[in-house]
Amino acid sequence: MSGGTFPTGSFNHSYGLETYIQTYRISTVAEVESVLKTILEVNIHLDAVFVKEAYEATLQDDSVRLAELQQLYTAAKPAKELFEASMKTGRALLLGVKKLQAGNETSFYGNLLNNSLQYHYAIGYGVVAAKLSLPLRETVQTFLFSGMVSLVSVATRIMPLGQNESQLVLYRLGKQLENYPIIEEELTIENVNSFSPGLEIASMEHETLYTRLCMS
Amino acid sequence: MQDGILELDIKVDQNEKSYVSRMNYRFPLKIMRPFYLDDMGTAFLYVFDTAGGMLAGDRADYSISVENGAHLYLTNASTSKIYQMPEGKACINQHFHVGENASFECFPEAITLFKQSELETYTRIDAHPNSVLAYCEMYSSGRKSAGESFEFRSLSNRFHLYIGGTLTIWEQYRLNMEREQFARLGYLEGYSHWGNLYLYAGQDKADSITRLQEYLSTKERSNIRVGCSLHPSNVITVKVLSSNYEEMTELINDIWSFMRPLMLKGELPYIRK
Repeated sequence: MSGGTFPTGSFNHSYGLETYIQTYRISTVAEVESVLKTILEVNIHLDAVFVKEAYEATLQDDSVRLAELQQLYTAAKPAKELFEASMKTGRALLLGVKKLQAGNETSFYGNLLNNSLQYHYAIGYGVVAAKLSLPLRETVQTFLFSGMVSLVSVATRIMPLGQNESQLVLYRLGKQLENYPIIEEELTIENVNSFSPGLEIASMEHETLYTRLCMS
Repeated sequence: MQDGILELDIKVDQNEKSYVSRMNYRFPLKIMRPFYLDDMGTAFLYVFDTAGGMLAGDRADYSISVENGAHLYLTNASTSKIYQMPEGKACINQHFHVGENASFECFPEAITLFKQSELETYTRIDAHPNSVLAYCEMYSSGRKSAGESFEFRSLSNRFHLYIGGTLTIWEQYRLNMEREQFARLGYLEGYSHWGNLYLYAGQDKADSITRLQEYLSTKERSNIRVGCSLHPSNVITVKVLSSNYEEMTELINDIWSFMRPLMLKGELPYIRK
């Protein structure tokens, strides 16, 4: 589910990166990497918490908690396109996994989720990982790294970056991810840090860009 | 150590004039008598921190209720200063309630974080679905005249906006990172001031986002980055980054001058500072 070919539609979303490129605020590999590093940090301090919380709620079969997390994450995304990107990719992930599990005798999600499968991507990722009995630590790491793979792929297309440059950026981001002290016990709602005004403004500006290749 | 308290209830009288029906305050927080500057009977209130700023251990607790049908515009006379403190922290707690058919406009000056200061803020707004809200918060990374920039120790900010009992906007952050990280793309990008403006006027006013986006496209300035967006809860969020405080306050004032007639059916009068 963290592979680039899983049909979540993430290749359509730049999460504000396209604004930086289109408005000529960034033009070099180092600058792209700088934006991606910020996105990675935001994902660690916000999204990864929701992956973990949703994972644990799923293990406890707690649909009420999942609904609370959904509401909370929605409230943390004041920029429309960031909200929509998360919802679209989340639903696509849940739907894709559900189809893969269609042969099972029992419903894969049971009564845990609403029928429309309208959940944010981070929450959906935590739910699916718990249902598949994947280890939490690897779940969080693959969530974060696959997010970077997707964004580097977007940058390769819209910047454009060379293939070799892209792989180097991804390699360095992966190394940085390895070095981040991600402690599972500290991935709590209390410790959420949603500060990224530059990214949020970029996403807001994206709504009115004259030409756009990405949906966010 | 100072534990400032300001508790206010705002009601509307039979002449549709809003007034302070209950007041409880403790040093150093005080208010002036309300001014009436518009045709809606809005009470324009200035809050004063008579201590001039906050030191380690200081608290300021605000609890303000704008009752059904009442209108309140709240501001202060100058920036809130968080002074240097070798250890400890200052705390600001704010709880605002906005009733049915009421309006609450809150436009305080920025909070300035001096070198080695530490501040915790918590703001909770409970607004009725049929109410109008314009809430602004701004921060300055230090005293520009003293060459200070991002030398504060820590800022912890929690903001909760509930509409009709549902959490609709949640912002939570703790800033204690290196100066280089603040400057990076995606964070503050080299700007020294940041601010948010939250606008809500119910579902039928949400389409004004298009007009605001058009308006902002005419207001581009070199020292400012600004974006606005409509949340599914019908809250419009405006985010601003700036290197110039006067330009930022002027822009936010311009935005609310533009939006107030659309959301509140009243022109924004001149607010003397």
